[in-house]
Amino acid sequence: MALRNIQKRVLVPLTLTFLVLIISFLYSGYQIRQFDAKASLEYRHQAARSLYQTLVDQRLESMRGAAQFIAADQNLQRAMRAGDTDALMELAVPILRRMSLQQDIPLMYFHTVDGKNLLRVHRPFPFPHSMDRFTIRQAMETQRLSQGVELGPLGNFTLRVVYPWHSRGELIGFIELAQDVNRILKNLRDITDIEYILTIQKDLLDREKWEAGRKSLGLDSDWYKLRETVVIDQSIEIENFNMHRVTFSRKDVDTRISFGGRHFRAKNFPLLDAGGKTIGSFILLQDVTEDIDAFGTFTFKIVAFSLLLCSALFVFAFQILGRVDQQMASTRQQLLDQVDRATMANYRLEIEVSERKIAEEKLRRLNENLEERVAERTRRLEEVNRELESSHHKLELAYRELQDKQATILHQDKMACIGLLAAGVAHDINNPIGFVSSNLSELAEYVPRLVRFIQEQEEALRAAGAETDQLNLRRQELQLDFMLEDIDALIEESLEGTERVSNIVQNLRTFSRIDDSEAKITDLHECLDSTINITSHELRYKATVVRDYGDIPPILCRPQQLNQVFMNLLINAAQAIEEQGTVTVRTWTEGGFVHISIADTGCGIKEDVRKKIFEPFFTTKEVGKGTGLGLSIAYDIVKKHKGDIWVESTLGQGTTFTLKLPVGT
Amino acid sequence: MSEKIVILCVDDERNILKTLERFCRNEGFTPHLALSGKDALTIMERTAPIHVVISDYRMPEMNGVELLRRIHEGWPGTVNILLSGYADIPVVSQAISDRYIHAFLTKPWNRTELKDTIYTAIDLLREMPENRPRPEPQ
Repeated sequence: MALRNIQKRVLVPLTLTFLVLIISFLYSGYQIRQFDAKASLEYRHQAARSLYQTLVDQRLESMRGAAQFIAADQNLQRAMRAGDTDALMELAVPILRRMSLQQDIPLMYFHTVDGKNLLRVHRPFPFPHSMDRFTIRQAMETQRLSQGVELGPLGNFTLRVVYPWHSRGELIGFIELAQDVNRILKNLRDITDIEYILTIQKDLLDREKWEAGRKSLGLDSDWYKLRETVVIDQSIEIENFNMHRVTFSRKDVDTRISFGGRHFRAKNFPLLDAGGKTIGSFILLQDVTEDIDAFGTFTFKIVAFSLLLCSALFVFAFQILGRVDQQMASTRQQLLDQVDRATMANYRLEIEVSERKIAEEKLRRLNENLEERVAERTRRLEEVNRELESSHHKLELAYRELQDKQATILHQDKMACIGLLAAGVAHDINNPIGFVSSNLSELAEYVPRLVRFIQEQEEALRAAGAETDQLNLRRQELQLDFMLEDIDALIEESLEGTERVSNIVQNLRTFSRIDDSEAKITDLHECLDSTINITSHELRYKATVVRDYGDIPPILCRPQQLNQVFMNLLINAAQAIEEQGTVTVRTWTEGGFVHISIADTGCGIKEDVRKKIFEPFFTTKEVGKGTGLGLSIAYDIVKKHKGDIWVESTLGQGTTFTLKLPVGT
Repeated sequence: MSEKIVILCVDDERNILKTLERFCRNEGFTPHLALSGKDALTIMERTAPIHVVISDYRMPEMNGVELLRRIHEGWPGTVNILLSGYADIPVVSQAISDRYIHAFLTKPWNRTELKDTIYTAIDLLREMPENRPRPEPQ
C-alpha cells in the first residue's frame, strides 16, 4: 500500500511533469517552427514579390531599351511621321521577331499622338479598337513614359511600356511594347519554386470575351469555378474547395491547404494594375509538405525519445522508489521496534527508578550510621596500629637483642668448641711437654757436671804434662768451646719453648673451665690500678698512662677475670704504640652500665681487621709474639658478665677499646 | 733421717716416669716407678719405706686420687703429691681437704717448684706422728 502510495505520489506528478515538459517543448518547437516557417514563407513571399518586381523591372527596362531603340530608328520615324502603317509593318516585323526571340517581347504597338492605336505589329488584323488602357492614357496625358501591368480583356496580364516617340524634337506617337506577365510568373516559379494562382475579379472582365480568348489561347475557361473571380493563370491545379479557401482568405493570413498528398501554405496578395487598382489576387502557394514532414518526423522523434527517456526514468524511478520505499518500510519497522523497546526500557526504567528510590532511602539510612562505624573502625584501627607499632618496636628490639645474643652465643660456641678441643688435647699435649721440660731441666743438671769434669780432666792432663796439641786440635775440630758456651743457652731456649706450649695450652684451658671463682662486689678502679701496676714494666718505656676516672659504683663481678681483660687491653695498647704515646683509661656510668675505655695513640686498626679482632686465634702480631686469644678471652669474659665490648679506631691516630658492665646484676 | 728419700712415681706414661727418675737421681732420691695404680700398690706392699708418692691423676683403671686415697689408708705416713695436666677441681679439692693429698702440681711442672714441694713434703713427713722416730725395720 505504501509502495503504491509513494509511487503514485511521486511518479504521477513526475510523469505529468514530464509530459508537460514534452508537450510544452513540442508546442514551443512547433510554434517556433511555425513562426520560422511563417517568417520564412513571408520572406520567400517577399523575395518572390521583390523578385517579381525585379523581373518586372528588368523586363520593363529591357522593353524601355527596346522602345528606345525602336524610337531611334529613322526609318520607323519616317514611317511613323508619314503614318505609313505598311512601312511600319515591314520595318517592325523583323524587329519584333528578333525581340520576341531574343528578348521575349512579343507585343509591339504603335500609337498615335492622341493615343489611338495605329498598328498592332504582332497581330495587325483584326484592326483593333481603341485601347483604353491606363498606360496609354497616362502616357498621353503626361507625355512621358508609362509602364505597368495591364489586365487585358481576355484576362491576361500584360506588362506594357508606352514610350513617347519623339522625332525631330516633336512627339510623333507612342511605341508600346508588352509581354505577358505569365512568363515572368513562370520564371518566378522556376526560380523560387513557389506556385502561384492569378485571379481576376469577374466584374472587370467580359465573360464571353474571356472565354473566347481563353479558348483561342488553348486555355481552359471556367467562369463559374469561383464566385467572384476567375483564375487566369495557375502554376498548379488545385481543387475547388481549396481554391475557394485560398481565394477567400484574408490578406496577410496564411491559408493552409493540402491536396494530392502535399501541403501548401497560401498567401493572398492583391493584384494591382498599372493604375494601382486591385484587380485580383496574386496567390502564392508554397509547398511546405517537406517542412511539415520534417516537423512531423522531428516531433515523432522528440516524442519517441522523450517517451523512451520518460519510460526509462519512470522505470528507474519506480525501482528507486521501490527501494526507497522498502527502506522506509524497514526503517519504519525499526522505528516501531525501537519504540517498542523504548517503551519496554521505559517501563523497566520506571521500575528501576522506584527500586532506586527505595535503595537510596536505605543507603541514606546506612550512610548515617556508616560514619559512626567508620569513626569507630578508625579508632580501632588506630589502636591496632599502635599496638602493632609497639609490637613492631618490641620485635625490633627483641630482634636486635637476639642478634646480639646470637653473636655472643656464636662466639661462646666457638670458644666452647675450642675449649672442648683444648680440654681434649690439653692432657695429650701436657704430658709430652711435661717430660720434655723435665728432661731439659735434668739435662741442665747434667751439663755443669760434665763441663766440670772436662775442665778437671784438662787440668789434670796439663798438670801431668801430657801432649795436648792433638787434643787441642781435636777440641777445635769438635768445636768444644762453642759447645760449652752454647749448651746453657740451648737448654734455656728449649725450656722456653716448652713453656710457651704450656702457656698456650693453659690459655686454651680457660675456655673449658667452669667458672670456679666467685663473684663479689668490686670497685673497678682498684682492679684497674692493680692491673696497671702489674703491667707497668711493659708500659713504662713506651706510654704515659693517664687516668680519667669518673663516678662509678662498685659492681658485682669476677675481679680476676676482669683483671685479665684489663691486662690484655693495656698490653695491646702499649704494643700498638710504636715509639711514644699515651694510654688513657676512662671510666663513667651511663644508662645503667659502668663504662671503661682504654685508648691508645697508636697505629690504629684497619677496618677489615677490626671486624675479626675478637675472633679466637686472630692476631696481627708476628709468630710467637701472641696467641691471638687475648681479645677473644676478654670478649668471653665481658659477655659472661652480661656486658659488651667494642672497638673504635682511626688509622694512624689511635684505638679505643670500650667495655660496659651492668650495674646491678 | 739420714737415709735417702724414697719416692714412688706413678704415671701411665713411661717417659714421665723416666724423667722423674732422672730428677730423683739428680737430686739424690731413690725412685720407684709404677705404670698403674695396681703396680703402685704392689710396690707399696713390697717396698718399705716409701716416703713420697707422686702420682698422675688421669690413669686408666684407677685414677690418681683413688690411688692416693688407698695409699693413705694403707700407708698413712706417706706424703702424697698429685701431679696432673688434667684435674677435676672439686674432686681434688675434696681430696686435699680430706688430707690424703698433701700437694698438687700441674703438668708441666716447674723443676724448682717440684723440688721445693718435695722438701716441704719431707719436712711435713717428719712432723707426722706416724713418722716419729721409732725403731727401724730391718
